[in-house]
Amino acid sequence: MLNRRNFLKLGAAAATTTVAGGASLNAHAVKDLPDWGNKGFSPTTGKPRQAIPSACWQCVTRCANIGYVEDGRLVKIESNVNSIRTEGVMCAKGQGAVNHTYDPDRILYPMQRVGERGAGEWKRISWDEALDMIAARMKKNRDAGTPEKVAFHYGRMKASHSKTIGGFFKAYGTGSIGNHTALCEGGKWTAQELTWGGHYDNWDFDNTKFVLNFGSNVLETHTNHIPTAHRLLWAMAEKGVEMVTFDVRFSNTAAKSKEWVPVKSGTDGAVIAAMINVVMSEGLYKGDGEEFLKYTRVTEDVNADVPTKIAAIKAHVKDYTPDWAEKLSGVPASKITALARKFATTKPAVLVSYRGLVCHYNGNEGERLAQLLCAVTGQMDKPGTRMKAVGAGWKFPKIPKAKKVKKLDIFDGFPGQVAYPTHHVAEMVLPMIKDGRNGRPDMYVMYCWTPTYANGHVGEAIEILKDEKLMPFVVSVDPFYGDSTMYADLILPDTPFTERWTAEDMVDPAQIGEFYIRQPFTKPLGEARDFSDVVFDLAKRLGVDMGEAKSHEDFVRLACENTPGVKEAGGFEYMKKHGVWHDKNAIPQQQVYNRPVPESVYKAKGVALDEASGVYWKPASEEDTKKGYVATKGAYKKYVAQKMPHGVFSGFAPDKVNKSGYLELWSPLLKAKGFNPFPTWMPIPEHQKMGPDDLILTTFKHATQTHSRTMNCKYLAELYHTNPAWINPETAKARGIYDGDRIKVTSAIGEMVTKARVTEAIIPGVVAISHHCGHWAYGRYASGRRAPFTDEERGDRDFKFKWWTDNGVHPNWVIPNAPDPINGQQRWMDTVVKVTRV
Amino acid sequence: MQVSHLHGFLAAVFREELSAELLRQLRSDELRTTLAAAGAELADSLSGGSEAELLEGLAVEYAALFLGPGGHISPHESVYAEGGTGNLWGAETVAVRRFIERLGFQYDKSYSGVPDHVSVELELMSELARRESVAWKNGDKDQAANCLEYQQEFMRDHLCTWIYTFCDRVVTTAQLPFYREMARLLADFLRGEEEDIERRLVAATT
Repeated sequence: MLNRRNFLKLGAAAATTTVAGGASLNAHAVKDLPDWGNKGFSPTTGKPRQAIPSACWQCVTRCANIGYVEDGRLVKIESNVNSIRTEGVMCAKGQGAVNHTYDPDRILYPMQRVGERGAGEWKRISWDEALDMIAARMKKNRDAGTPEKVAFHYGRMKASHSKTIGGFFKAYGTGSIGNHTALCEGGKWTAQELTWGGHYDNWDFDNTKFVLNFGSNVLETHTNHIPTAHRLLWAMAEKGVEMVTFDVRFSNTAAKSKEWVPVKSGTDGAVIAAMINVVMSEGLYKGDGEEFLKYTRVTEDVNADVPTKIAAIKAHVKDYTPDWAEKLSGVPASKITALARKFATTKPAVLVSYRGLVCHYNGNEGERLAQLLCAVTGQMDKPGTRMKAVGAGWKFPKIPKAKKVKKLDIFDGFPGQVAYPTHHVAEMVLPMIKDGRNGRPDMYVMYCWTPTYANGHVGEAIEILKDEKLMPFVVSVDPFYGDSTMYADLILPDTPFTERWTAEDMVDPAQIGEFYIRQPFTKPLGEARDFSDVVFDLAKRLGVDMGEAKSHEDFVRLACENTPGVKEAGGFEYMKKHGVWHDKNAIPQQQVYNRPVPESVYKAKGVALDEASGVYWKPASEEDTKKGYVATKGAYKKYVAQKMPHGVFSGFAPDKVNKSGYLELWSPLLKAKGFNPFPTWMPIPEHQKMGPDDLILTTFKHATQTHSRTMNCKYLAELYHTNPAWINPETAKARGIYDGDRIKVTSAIGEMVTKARVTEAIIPGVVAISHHCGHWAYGRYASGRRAPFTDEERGDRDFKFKWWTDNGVHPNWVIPNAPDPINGQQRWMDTVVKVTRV
Repeated sequence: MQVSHLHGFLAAVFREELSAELLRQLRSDELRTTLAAAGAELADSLSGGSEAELLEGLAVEYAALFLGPGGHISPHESVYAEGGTGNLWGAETVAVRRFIERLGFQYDKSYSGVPDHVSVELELMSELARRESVAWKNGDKDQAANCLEYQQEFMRDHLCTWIYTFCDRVVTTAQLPFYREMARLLADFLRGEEEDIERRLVAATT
């Protein structure tokens, strides 16, 4: 019988004959085959479309993508098959981005307000006029010694855009730069900075055997959505990995899980605390947990041995019994115990957590409890567990800062309001401007930032932004007429991401680090300009030094030419052709914390041991040495290594706060601010005082929309455009509410009317309303604003494409701005409301 | 040549905000009289007030009607196309560009707008009508017919598929008389042209 070996023998023999090779194809003349993958063909001509590798920007995940261009028109977007992050998978949001480019309501020219602020009267001006206007204000403030009164507030700005735009404002001399992270998951990052240093946890689904999920809708939405979600699906489908999801809502993630465990809103932390109790009382920490505890701090004494640490944890969690947690959370004690055992004994297992856990008053502690559970089971920072994330480390050109950079203290909440606002307190910026005690900006520049829509207390935000006494001059940099842009004095037409350059760097679940770039699919429409190019023009007008680069494209080129690895691969030309690059010989990064540090490093000149923390660091002065590591401002930047009883190790290096190099779960930093140094269950004050008719309003996101930026994409709005409030039949019945009824949701700050979706997919006592909907601007598809399209009788040909009339309701009208007291995270899930039938 | 000039005039009116120069011409006795005779009821709307105030008011009106930001009347064909995407730069936009390039014309390098803007389509009509006029003058009926075929095709496949909806919207939405009257004038003129081209084509081919 012939087998493959025999075929090959025949092949070798045939090579000597004259019939081998082709006679009809002139194939030998073609030197190189075209690259495999990512091809698109015109359905009319059959010819290949131009395929441009670039990167998405619909959400923060920023997946590598390919845009297909035909006749100068962007016709389709798909994933880049060569990306190790996405492995060729892309979400609906990414594909729907073609609608950004061609949104009929795009702003194509600089516009200046002529009527009352917010009244919608505008005139077109030239770029020169617009930039002269901005430069004049910036000059005036610089000359007056008040550059900090130029405030720049962004919603999404990453990688090279962050370097050029942020770099420009710092080079000018203002540090009044705000962000939006506290509205997303900034609290999770702070909790991680307080425990294991640099933020971001990668969940290693490629290698895990069990997934324990607290409040993450990971299959629908996540800061690293597709790179993470598709790996999880593969783990579940191909390897039978089980996931258990705790959530108040039967999300699509919960639906795909092995088990959905309904949990009372804001009590996930109690469940985790009880799981730690089970692990400690049943000795499930033995082995991996004990080993990991060597690198963990759970006592004031940094030199404590492992038995002492175990005793300390046991003492701390002794009252967090499963029975205690059952009373708080509604989760049966037996379930908590069983899942604690399963998590501790399935090796490796990964603990997943997100906004369901962290967007609460006790969110910081929820995340710290999650870190403690991982530590005592040893399920941390090794394959198959929760790992410290890895991104691409670009070598960007430097933009020198101004000699003196001043800032308004309006980005971190009111004095004493937030203990460690390491990712700022976005939701309090407008209220602080209204208050005025810490000063007010003379010019407020909004970049991809919609404070009236993205923050809580929408009504107040609109009033503040409209008030010319509080906000003398508002500039909006936006491709679209968004819900805040309508209150600007000057609009600079930004490009959508499909017309931009960027050197990108988002987290790689393969733990290697993928370098990728964004390049324009098409030329900017109208007179739209990427703001990262505009700042180079502004710099010229102001005499600000932007360093070596002359434009943003030039900045990206220099990053490609200077970054080791990318440079050798072919630099900018390679990246323009392929879009992505990673080191094929790199070993996935894990367990850096247990690497011994040689004496030559920690005993080098200038390095000192801080006895109280056990940190080897480089104090800048005698005075700093005296103050000690923890009390010296910015000391974390001088961290070298951590002394532990069994040696000196690189440890969990600190970032943003002066924590030790241990996984710090006994935190002197929190103790200093009056909090329990140990991860602790904290009841939510508002929930303690709830009356019998009160409900908890909780929020969520849908797979085909981002929080605020995608509803103008027609394809995506068709898929999801309205957001009835989810309410349990039991809760609804008690209020006489039936499915589809109009209901009123009333909180302490206001009321809203929406529709009820009566469903078992939500626990009793809660009402859940998604974000995304209820825009009052942002173009026809997002807002349904028809004016001047009122010609219904004769038929609106363009408006016929918008077949839906219900654009939903935005829940933020009734959600107050309320920061987590430790980290400033906006508490999206804590609002107490009354719900009645209208 | 009058047809070409009128197309060109209307292209200029809808291309961008009114320039001081065009306003001055509009305020001249000759243009006022002829506009009134053509049915444009501008009355005294362009005569009172300072030139700067008038220009500012018309610029604000132009932005509100044709630019946004916010709800406006898109002056682009693809936004209106039956069975299209309802977005800018649709397949119709490509077809308009192809039509123009098929004739050997090129978009000016300085043009930053979208290829199927109303002013581009009117400019094309103006050029075709100009060539037709020259052909008649030279007694070249074949060439005149050629120009007319192109005009008819472009109006049938592009301009007249959406322009009347556009004009209706402007007429009902405009706050000032100027753009309302210009839109009315444009619609009336093109309706007339649709019939007249047919007549001229018969004359050129018989």
